[in-house]
Amino acid sequence: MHAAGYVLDHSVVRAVADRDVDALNTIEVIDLTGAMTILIPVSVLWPELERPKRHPEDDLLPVDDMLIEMGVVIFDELTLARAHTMARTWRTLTSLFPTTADPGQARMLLMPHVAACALERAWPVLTREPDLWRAAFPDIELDII
Amino acid sequence: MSKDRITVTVDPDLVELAEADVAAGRARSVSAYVNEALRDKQRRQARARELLAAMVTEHRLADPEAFAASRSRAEAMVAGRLAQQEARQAGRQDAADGGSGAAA
Repeated sequence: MHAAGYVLDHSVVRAVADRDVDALNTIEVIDLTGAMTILIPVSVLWPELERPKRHPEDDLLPVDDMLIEMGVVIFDELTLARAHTMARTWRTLTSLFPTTADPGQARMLLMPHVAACALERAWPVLTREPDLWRAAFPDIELDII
Repeated sequence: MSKDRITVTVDPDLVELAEADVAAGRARSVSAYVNEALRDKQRRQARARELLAAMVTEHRLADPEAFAASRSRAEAMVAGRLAQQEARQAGRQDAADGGSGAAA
């Protein structure tokens, strides 16, 4: 595994699925460095990865397969070993965002996992939602697309 | 093509699968089976990169100016971050070498 890399949050996975030019450029530039790994936490990201399958022009290779197959991409499964940290972070998040409207339950489940991956490796989170991250995890470094 | 001999550890169920394919005549040997699996992974990675490159090219042709700006932003951001992470890694290595007395 590379010693340098990025952790993708759901907003960037969705941006790749939507073929956003900034997201695609960033993924390709990271890949071309040959020295960085992209980490995708998979706890609740799979719905985002499933979504692009609906694109009719994806006969050749769906976008989700593209991300999965890129040699530079690895996945991190949520494990019981992280349960305690995740529960504590969940409590912090629910106190910061007491309503269920925003950022949303699924995202609030995902964010601690993304945060744990980023903190464990001292990697930045690649995101399109910096305000959310700054409010919830001010110690985590962000790169914004 | 010449072959390199390496030692790897493999999950028992996968070894069983490979041996079953060899026994059934679907692969010449377990080595050939593993070789083909690695070759297949390489092909799938290449296809993924081709798809990404094709999507990037679509953007470049559709709006060259906006694409160039986006590309410059991405390159600057990633280059800065990689340099930072490599410097940190070097710092950690120096500290480890110093801590163990291995530094010259």
